[in-house]
Amino acid sequence: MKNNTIIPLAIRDLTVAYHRKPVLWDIDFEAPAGSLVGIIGPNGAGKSTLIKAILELIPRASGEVLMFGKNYSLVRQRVGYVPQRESVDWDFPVSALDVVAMGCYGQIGWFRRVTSKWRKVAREALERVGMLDYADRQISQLSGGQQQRVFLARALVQDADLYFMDEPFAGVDAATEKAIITILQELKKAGKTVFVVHHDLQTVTEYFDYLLMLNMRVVAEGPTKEVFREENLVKTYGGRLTLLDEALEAMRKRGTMG
Amino acid sequence: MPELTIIYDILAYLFPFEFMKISFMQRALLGLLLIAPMAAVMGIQVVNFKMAFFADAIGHSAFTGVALGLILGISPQWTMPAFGLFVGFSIMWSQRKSTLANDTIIGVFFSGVVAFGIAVVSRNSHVARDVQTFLYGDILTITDQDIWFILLLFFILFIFQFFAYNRLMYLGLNSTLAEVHGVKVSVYQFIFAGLLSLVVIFSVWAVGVLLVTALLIIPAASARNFANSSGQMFWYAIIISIVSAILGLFISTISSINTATGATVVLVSFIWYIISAIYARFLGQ
Repeated sequence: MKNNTIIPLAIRDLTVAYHRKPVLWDIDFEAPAGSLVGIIGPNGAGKSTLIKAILELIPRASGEVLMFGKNYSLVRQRVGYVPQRESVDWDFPVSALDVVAMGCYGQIGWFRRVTSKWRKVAREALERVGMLDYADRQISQLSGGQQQRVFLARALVQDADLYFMDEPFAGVDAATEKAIITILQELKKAGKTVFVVHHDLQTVTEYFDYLLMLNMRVVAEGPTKEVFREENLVKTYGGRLTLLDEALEAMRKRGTMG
Repeated sequence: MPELTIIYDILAYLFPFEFMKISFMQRALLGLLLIAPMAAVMGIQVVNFKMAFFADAIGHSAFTGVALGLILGISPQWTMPAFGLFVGFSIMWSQRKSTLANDTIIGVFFSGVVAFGIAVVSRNSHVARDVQTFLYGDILTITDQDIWFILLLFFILFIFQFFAYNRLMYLGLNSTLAEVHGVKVSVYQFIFAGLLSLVVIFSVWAVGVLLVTALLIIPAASARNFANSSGQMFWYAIIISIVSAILGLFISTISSINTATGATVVLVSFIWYIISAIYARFLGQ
């Protein structure tokens, strides 16, 4: 557990614009170390944009982002990322093991071959996500959930301290969902901080101990127990009534259950 | 200019046929032996990155490059690679700046470049005849100077591949992920596009504008049918490409056959592809 005392992610006055139209306004946020942070909000709220802006994949109009008190470029190796599944070229001719080994490139050195030592590391990561039997399969031959687990394993071998996952639960089977949540718990135990863009409001309280509710601005942030409330949900999801109803319904159910 | 005689002697020794004593045959074989593995390696990435159309557009820019050279009175040896690079970078740059689909942008440049070439060529008929050589390719007329150019490109390309292979794999799979992991994606994309443009242009000598894409993608496609891993695919593509080049050259010189060398090379690799497709269908995984 290195640097547990230093704030893993601090965002100050972050504004992002696409074609001069702002999509994120004045984001201020600090994540407590060793927490699972859910990022929720309606479509177009800027959830993926926020992650991309943090990782400097798109330009920021203004604001500052510090990871472990430093600029991103200085701590790159400590930051892991799991992209949205649709953004990956699944026809690319590599095996599950190849993909996981790519997570080691930073440690191996970019122009070395992947030696047996690193293949062992990659196999261990595949085992953690329950995918060892599929190590030599081409990624095109895996199901959606299996592909997601392979990418999770790739992020694991990188042994980062701060992770960003863009909708890892989208369209996966129950086994994968369980595998992912187990890994998230393990990461938390190891003192790592994980940001997860999430859609399913029914599972929010179960999965995340910290929440960032986003709709172009930060609507609410804090421990899930405190901020996952009706008024914040109404503010976050605004006019999208059906979605809101479902969320409120889910909340009430949870309320009556305990 | 230093002499290539030693390499020619070695080739003549390795292939002790009567026709290999002729110097233009030795040059042609050396040229093909350099171009074939370059085309194969770049071809793998062209197939994996889905850049076949890009390569085709560059190939057609060779035709315009030649026309430009003949009009401006500069040797096509210079105008062809220069214009190829120019078109390659222009496409890459536009793809970044535009919201249009990649193949739409390539299509626009493709037509613009070819139209420009035809316009230039149609103005005077004696140029038209020279340009024809580049449509079909003519490896038998390759000069020592060309060989030196290709040799230089060969070394630059393999040094680049040695250092960049892992990164190219990574960004082929998902460029965002590669970027997050510290790969300077745009730098590698531009270097790759530049080298690809040059390989395509030099391959035009071997097989001509019309067949240049074939030289890139057929060995890679066949290798993908045979291979179980990306490493195997790399080596199979090189072997298939080299064997096709040697066989194609030799078959085309048999007096009863006497076909265009470029087309024969491509035909041989096409036979490889058929065999690989049958293998993949009945014997592969």
